[in-house]
Amino acid sequence: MSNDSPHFLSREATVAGPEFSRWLVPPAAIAVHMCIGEVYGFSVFNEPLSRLLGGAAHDPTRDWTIPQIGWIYSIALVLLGLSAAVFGKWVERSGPRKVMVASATCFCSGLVLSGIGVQQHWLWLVYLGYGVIGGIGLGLGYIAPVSTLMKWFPDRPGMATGMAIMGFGGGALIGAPLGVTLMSFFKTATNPGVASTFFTMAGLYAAWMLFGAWLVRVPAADWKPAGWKPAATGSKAGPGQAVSVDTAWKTPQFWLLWIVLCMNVSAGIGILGQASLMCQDLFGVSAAVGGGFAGLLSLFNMGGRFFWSSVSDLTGRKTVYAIYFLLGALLYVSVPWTQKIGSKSLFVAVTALIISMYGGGFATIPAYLRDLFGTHQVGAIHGRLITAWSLAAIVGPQLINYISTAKKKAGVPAAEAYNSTLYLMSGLLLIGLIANLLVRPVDARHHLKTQP
Amino acid sequence: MQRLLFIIAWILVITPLSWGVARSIQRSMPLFTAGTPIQAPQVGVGPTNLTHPTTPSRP
Repeated sequence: MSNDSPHFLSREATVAGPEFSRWLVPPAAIAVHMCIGEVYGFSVFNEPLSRLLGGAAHDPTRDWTIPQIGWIYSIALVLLGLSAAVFGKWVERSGPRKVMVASATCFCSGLVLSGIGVQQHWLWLVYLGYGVIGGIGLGLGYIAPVSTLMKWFPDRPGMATGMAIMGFGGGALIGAPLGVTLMSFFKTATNPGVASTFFTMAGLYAAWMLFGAWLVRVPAADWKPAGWKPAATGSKAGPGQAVSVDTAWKTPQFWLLWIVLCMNVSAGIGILGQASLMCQDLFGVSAAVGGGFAGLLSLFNMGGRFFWSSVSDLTGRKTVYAIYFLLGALLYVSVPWTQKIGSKSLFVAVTALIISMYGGGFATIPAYLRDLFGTHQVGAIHGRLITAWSLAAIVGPQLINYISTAKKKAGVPAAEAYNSTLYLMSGLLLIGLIANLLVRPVDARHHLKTQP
Repeated sequence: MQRLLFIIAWILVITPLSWGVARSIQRSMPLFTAGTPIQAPQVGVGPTNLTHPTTPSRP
């Protein structure tokens, strides 16, 4: 190799030739996202991790407790948000391939370390491996393909990022059954097979993520889709004027979108976190049916990411968020009514639509950022915005739990206790609606002096 | 070559996603199968999850 050749991992080495099809970039992005989305299937390991020493049953004196195990997941989520925020600028500078390789290295080595931690029964190593190192891999992998996809699909930025973020939702659908299947393969009479499952998953996920890293390309500076005429920069359909990440997060627009995302996440938890039991408590169905309801919602969560973000390319981002929040608030309020008339079908339809819009809210936010701040550092800006999700995912459930428990202690009947939570969710969505309506184009004084 | 790569790349992502979706549909089947009559709402019985933190949602 000549000294002039760019390094394989460098941004320069990923610049696509004229024959490269842009439709190869979405599978590269999905390959990474559907692997890191595994984190949402982590709950399948909770119970096996709690009986590593006791064998068939939990040994309360030596085994890890469920709250201790729960911290693995929480640490990973916090590190996801923090790493996306901290490394966002590096991600933009380094290009997608290097970041995807870094993400694969962190995520998969985190799984391996956790496997060793499980074998040795060292909880601190599992926290460090899956939580800290793996969590950094999650954050890097989540934002790595965002700006690349929007540069390849300037005509359909919502659809492009929607595909990747749909892959993250799909990762949960893959990760949980894969974990269960592998554990049932590796388990013995005295060992639930968690460590071997972690090692195997690390190998499988590394293969897929590195394939994505190898496949990904960035477009040449003068590239544009055939026959596509760019809308004027700063116009309604075009990208916003370029704003640097350091400036963007000081603008009101950034914080309004932060509120939009935070409210969207907090409200979604109201249904997702309680789905199975809510269905059982409100309609008296079996646990199997409740679990089926939760499975159905996961599908709508995934499908909504692609559907609604694609719709946003036609309607505009502000309109589609107004639909999410306004229609979502009305639907939340109508859930107690579906229970009152005893219509399980209507209840399922209403909640499925709510969850599809909740997923859509996640998938549409990168394109909204691009509309306001341009594509220049949109990945880094997205990284900082993800802190809204991290906060909502940690604080939101606690808030909901606190209110519900307080209602219960006050003697409020079950159905009404759910109602309070649902009305609260509706209120959160209305706050999101107000924040969305207040979004205006970024003031010209924040634009980069030299547009890239 | 470009076309072959295109086919391989999409197969590599669609296959596991389809497997995940199929498993999820399988899991949701009890919701649609008969034999799960709607019962009266259990007013007065506290939701069992209210004393436990809910699961964070996925981004």
